[in-house]
Amino acid sequence: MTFYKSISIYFPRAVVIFVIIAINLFGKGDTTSNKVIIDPSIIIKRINEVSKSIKSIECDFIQIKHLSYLSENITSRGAFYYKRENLIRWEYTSPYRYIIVINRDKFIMKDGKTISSFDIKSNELFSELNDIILGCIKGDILKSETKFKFSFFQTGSIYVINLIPVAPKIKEIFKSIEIYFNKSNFDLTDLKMVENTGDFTKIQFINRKYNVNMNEEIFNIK
Amino acid sequence: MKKYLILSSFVFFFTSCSPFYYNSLLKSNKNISSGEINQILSPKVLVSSKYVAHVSALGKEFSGIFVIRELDKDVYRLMLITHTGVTILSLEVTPDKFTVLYCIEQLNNKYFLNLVNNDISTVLYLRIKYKSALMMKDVKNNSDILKLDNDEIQYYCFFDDRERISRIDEVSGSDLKKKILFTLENDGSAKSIEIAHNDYPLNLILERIVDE
Repeated sequence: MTFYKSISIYFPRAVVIFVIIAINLFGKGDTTSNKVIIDPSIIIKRINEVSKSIKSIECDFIQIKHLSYLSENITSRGAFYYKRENLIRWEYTSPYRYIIVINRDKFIMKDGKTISSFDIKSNELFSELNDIILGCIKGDILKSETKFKFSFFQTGSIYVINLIPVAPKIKEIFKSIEIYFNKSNFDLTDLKMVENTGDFTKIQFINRKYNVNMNEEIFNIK
Repeated sequence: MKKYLILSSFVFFFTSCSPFYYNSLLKSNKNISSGEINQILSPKVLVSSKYVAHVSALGKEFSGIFVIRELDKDVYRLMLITHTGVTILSLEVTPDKFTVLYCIEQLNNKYFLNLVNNDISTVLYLRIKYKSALMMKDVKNNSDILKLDNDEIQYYCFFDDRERISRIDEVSGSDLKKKILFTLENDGSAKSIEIAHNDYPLNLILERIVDE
């Protein structure tokens, strides 16, 4: 058998074997890294229990906005505060200073020295966004069956809840929303909002502190 | 920066924005050729970058991130996103075409989008339609001003100390309709831009974000 003949016989076989090995390796990798949870009832129960125990959250956040036409992402950082029931403060510190406060029905923004506020219910977009963010923190989001279709996954040390909007208004904005929980303590670690164009915003919550004493004054901007 | 822009706007308003101001300008001895005008209006001030956008429209204040990317020569993609990352306006702009790729319901107003088209095209391409041009002189401030005349509309172009365009006033008769203020970097790109309409409650300030 000549060298070229042996190559022509064995090379296609080698390619087939390589492809089979690759499919096995990477295919298995995919399934283990993103495994569908068929019965999520225990997870839902635990999320509800943990959410009920949370009275306040204080943490830092890193927000990454990915735009398909940009070579780099837009990264913002800041501090996040939540106090039950409906008090939220997003304090952006980098690359610019900006504060957003949700104080019950009021949406307040501070841009430099300019403070503006409006009634959340007067703006459908902000109202939906507020419901989504609060719902993710409080665990209420899992009760929004009329707005989303849910599917549950697990990967490594986290659970992922994938929300596909069914409500027309939310469908106009988002293709999906992914909520990431730590498997060991059911902490909300990440929130990913994917727009219909494929552009997405991922917010990572770090240095989380729960149920710390929090002065309600930080939710009032004057 | 925003404070400076607002302050400078007020100073400008009270010192040089009165109906009498434009009439007080004297014709300069300087002549200007169309080639020189093209050169003045050619620099790209709004470049591919990220800006913090402060918008004041119809009595409401709003802030977000404005992203500009030149996809091809003179073809721009522009996006306005909220601080929390939600896209509210996505545009594709060429010298001849203005395409709204996405716009939230609240901003989807033909008159508003026409204003945006006009403003964005002006700052992106600095293309001003004019029939005649004249160099003027502000004697009080000892500065040269380029006046471009297009029938009912006159454009007054002001310069910084490096003779780069730093302000454009759009005037009808002696009424200021719109002013655009530029603060430029050493390379001529905009560090900040302010667009203020006098006959429509719309004001836009863009401040370039410097990555850390």
